[in-house]
Amino acid sequence: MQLEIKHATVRYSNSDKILDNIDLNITEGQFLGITGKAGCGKTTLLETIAGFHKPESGFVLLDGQNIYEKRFVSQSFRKRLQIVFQFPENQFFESDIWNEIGFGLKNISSSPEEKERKTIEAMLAVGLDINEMKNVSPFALSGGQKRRLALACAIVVSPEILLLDEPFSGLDGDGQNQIISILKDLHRNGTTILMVSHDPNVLSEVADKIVVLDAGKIQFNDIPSRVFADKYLCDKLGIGQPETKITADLIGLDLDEDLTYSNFIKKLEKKYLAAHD
Amino acid sequence: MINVSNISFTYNNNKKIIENISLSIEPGKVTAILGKNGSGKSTLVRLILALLPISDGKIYIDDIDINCKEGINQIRKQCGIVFQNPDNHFVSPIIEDDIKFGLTNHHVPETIQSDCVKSALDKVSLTGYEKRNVSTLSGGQKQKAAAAGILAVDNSIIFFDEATSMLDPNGRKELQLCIEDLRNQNKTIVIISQNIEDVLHADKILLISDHQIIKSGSARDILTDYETLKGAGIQIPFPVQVYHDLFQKGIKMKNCPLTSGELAEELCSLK
Ligand SMILES: Nc1ncnc2c1ncn2[C@@H]1O[C@H](COP(=O)(O)OP(=O)(O)O)[C@@H](O)[C@H]1O
Ligand SMILES: Nc1ncnc2c1ncn2[C@@H]1O[C@H](COP(=O)(O)OP(=O)(O)O)[C@@H](O)[C@H]1O
Ligand SMILES: [Mg+2]
Ligand SMILES: [Mg+2]
Repeated sequence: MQLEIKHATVRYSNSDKILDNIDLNITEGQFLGITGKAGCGKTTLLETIAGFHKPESGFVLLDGQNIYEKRFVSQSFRKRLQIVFQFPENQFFESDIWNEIGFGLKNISSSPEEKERKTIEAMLAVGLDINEMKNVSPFALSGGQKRRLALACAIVVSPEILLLDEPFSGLDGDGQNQIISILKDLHRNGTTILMVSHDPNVLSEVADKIVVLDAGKIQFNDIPSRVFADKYLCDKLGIGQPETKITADLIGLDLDEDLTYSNFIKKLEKKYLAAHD
Repeated sequence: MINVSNISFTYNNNKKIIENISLSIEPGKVTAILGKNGSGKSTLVRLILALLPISDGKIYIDDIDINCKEGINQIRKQCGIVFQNPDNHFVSPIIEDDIKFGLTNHHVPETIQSDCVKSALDKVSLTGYEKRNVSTLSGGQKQKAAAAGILAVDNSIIFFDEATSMLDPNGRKELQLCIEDLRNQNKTIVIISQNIEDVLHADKILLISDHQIIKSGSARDILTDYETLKGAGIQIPFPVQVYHDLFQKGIKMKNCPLTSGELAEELCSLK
């Protein structure tokens, strides 16, 4: 799998350029974070990659093929690439959760037993209780439950590429941890993931690389420790810094380019237990 | 002052959502409600705003039962809310018209309405967005516009129901400053959020779990109570998590820190 964005410029009917001549290469199995101020174009970028905004110039290429070309087969594209929108309620239309999740499997030739098994697996994975929830209407869910359902609908078809637009916004602590661990699993199993988020903690926890958008351009496409290195620049770009980094800087701890929580604790342990010996 | 006394609620499917909850929302204070997704926070707010009928119990605003015309009038007059989903918020597609609609409802003279709109948009960094159609805004910008609509009018009690979930770190700080301002003007604020930073400065936190309020207290009391937060499925504040995990490894800080500044101090005094 090779996903490329080449010289893409995108604008809405009479807006300024939202994406201005952007180049981006996404390699197979990558976990790419996308961040930047509210309104900088994160959703636009994700939806452009998902086939919803044809660039006025430039291309989006999947394995060398322009996804906006007429010959491009959209059915197989949908199976390969799934997007979870920022407002999940806008994507639901079935009368209950069971059918909402099952819908994506309709066009995939699998037996009824397999469909059932996959639907159950997807509900379990996102923490929707099967007996309690399967007959509930998607529209009677609370905000956080809707996010879980939207994710279940995407992962049930086992896409190669998963696009997530602020999947954690409004999720409680348990829900966040649950979804982080699902995403880590998918990543480990080779799924390519592009995730928009405003949370520097989550981004530095899961992303291999982070793209920072500002004023229509990619300002950064780098590993988390380099993106979040400079406090002043992070404030200016409106992306904040992860708490591991903030704390490490305050106490003069070297995190060796690894801003994850487990590394932070490991370094503290080493520092303070060593001091005791 | 809002007093909620022994209320219960079920939607028509008979599943208990709220069971015998009592609480008071004190004037001039910031009260936060914490609880996992689906625990009934938005339902509770809808009950207080008389948008849903209570199954059992009473709610009073300034000692007036909200279950009568005068009570409803008081609620409508005093309370404003920023909803969880900004799309539920707008009554007009153009930002300026939407905010002016609220101003007119609050009897703000037309001659000064444009200034009010401008100053509200300035507060959330949407300067110059007056004529924009809300359908062309990004998610975070919608949340900002929804907040601006509430900041523009002079409500005495304001509810923010997960109104910051799509804001970037700067936008979040901006709104926190606005809330601080409102508190200084002696407004009553209720915040629901999954983001710890949003509730760190609350005067009081109510923790909901299993249809009930299981604990209430100062932000420090609630947010440093690792076991209770964990049990309720709430995000553990970073410094509290660090305190807990180091403790498990035999590294003991004197006090449980709540901010990164406090965490750094505790760590430095470990030696
Ligand atoms: N339909 C539209 N018409 C005009 N402008 C739009 C439209 N949708 C979004 N925009 C603008 O494009 C910019 C990028 O939006 P978006 O990609 O949603 O930002 P975000 O980074 O917050 O996801 C914003 O400034 C927004 O106001
Ligand atoms: N209109 C409705 N009809 C039936 N059940 C609902 C409705 N709205 C919410 N619920 C259910 O009530 C519970 C509480 O929802 P809500 O108050 O929105 O939770 P919170 O705001 O704490 O996330 C959830 O289980 C939700 O599924
Ligand atoms: Mg967006
Ligand atoms: Mg809610």
